[in-house]
Amino acid sequence: MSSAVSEVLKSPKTNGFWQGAFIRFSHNRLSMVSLVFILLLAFLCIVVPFLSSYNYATPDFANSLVSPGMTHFFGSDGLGRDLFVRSFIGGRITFEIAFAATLVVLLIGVLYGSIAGFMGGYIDAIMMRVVDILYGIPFLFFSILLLTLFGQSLILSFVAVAAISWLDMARVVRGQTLSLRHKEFVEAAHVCGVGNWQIIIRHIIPNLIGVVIVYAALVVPNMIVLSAVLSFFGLGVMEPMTSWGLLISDGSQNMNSWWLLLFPALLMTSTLLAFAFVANGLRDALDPR
Amino acid sequence: MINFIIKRLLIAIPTMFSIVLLVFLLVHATPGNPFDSEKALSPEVMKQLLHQYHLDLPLWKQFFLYVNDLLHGNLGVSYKFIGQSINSLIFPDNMGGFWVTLRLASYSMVITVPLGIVIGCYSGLNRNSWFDRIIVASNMIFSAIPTIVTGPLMVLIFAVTMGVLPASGWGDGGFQNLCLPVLALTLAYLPTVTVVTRGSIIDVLNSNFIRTARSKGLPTSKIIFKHAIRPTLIPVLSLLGPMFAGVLVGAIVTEQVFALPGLGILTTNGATNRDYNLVLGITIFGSFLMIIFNFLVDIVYFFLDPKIKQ
Repeated sequence: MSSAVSEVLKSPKTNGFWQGAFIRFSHNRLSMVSLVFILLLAFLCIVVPFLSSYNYATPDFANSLVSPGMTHFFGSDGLGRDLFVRSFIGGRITFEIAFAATLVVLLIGVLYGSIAGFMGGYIDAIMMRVVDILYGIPFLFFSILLLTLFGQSLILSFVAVAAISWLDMARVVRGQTLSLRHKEFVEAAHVCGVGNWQIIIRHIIPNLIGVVIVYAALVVPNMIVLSAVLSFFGLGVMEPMTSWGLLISDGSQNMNSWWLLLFPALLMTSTLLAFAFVANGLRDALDPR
Repeated sequence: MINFIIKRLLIAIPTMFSIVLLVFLLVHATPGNPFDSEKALSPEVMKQLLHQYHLDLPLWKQFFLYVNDLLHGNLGVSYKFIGQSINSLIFPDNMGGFWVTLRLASYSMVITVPLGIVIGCYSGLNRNSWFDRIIVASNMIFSAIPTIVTGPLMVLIFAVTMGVLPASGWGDGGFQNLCLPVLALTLAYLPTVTVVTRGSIIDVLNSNFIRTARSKGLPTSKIIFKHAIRPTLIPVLSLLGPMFAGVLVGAIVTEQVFALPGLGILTTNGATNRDYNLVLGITIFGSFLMIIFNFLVDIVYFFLDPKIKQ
């Protein structure tokens, strides 16, 4: 018996699904670089506002519209505020909104989709009709309507965004649940007298994690874009707090100072691309065909 | 055929009704009324105002009146633009409102769809060529970047730095004013059409009936134009329904970026003035457009895809 074979026979367990997925993901160089980039950026968004000598909100009219240089890395805006600090504090808010909204989307989407898919029959039919109906409402108008009705607040702006975005998630999860519903292990649990709720939580949802992770990586950049679009409409984050959307919106009204547009736009674009690459890598890693 | 249309209508009408009910209840369930935010009105004036807009009636009566108006194609009156109906705000006599949005959306659809199909087909037919690689890479990049970034960046490049095109505004609605907005909107949706077409034609070329056609010795051009095109287009077509919704919303974002006087500005005006009826009307109008368009796509689908007919 060769040593390699005996090695295999001796080893008590093989690589699990998650370990394999992790190895596949880490071999995807573009995805790994993107992931590191996102983590680095998130770290900077937390740290920079503390470390910088400038405050994001304090105006300094003597130094308004300074071009990028050693004093202000990204230049300064019309009120003399440092754009470098503002970009990162804006990034922090943007990430916060995006992740909070994604969390809401995951929670509602997974529960709704798995219940509809698992219950089947008329419950499923009714639940999916509701999704179809909500699909018929153009999301931008609906968010503006919500923000008109309830006034502007940070929390509301992400609830509005999340309330519309869980629909796709619910559909994806339902589809996956339908394919799981009649698998042997679910039927076995059923036969053993496990209740519907227990089956959904113990057996269905854990098996959805792969799909959900891949999908969540797509939801985060969508949330970033949606919240940025809303701030373009003057809804969402309010001055002096800022977000990438608000910074880009300000920059596009102040074109003669190119840095006001360029730096936030670059930050947001690179983040969105990084998320797209990470999502790509995750799909390849978790859904090997 | 008739059965199919009736079946589709039976789905579309309750959907529309539910949307109206949902949005209407949402608006009217919120505390306060549209005149609260203004400077304090005397009780008599407030009562008069509420009466004039039927806001003192029970909710179900208001809903009944609203639906009745809707069935007559009337979206109600604006609370803030005094004496104007919402219809006249959405469809003004001169250029503006929906007409701007429609023009923007249709110009860019007219460019996006054929261009995306041609690029996607060419790219899929020459798989792994340098052209295909460039297309796949740029699709990836451009589908990640939203209009609110590409739009201002294009203004920065073409209008501010090079000075060849106007930065914003409708002007006379000519080529120069529309060039950048249409381009921005096209860039946002071209990747989707291209990716779907490319994937679709690759699938079709691998299918058995194409292999049969090849083995019979048909020339490539005949295989593509006689056999491959139709099944290739089916997934692209099913994309057009949701895409129209996307383009409608995208056009509104583009209007905001380029300061065009379309539905977007109207909605924002409604929102900042807390003109519920206006935002309500626009939302319902938007939903109506989406449902109509999905309905039309379903019918075209019926003609293209023989599987549905069975």
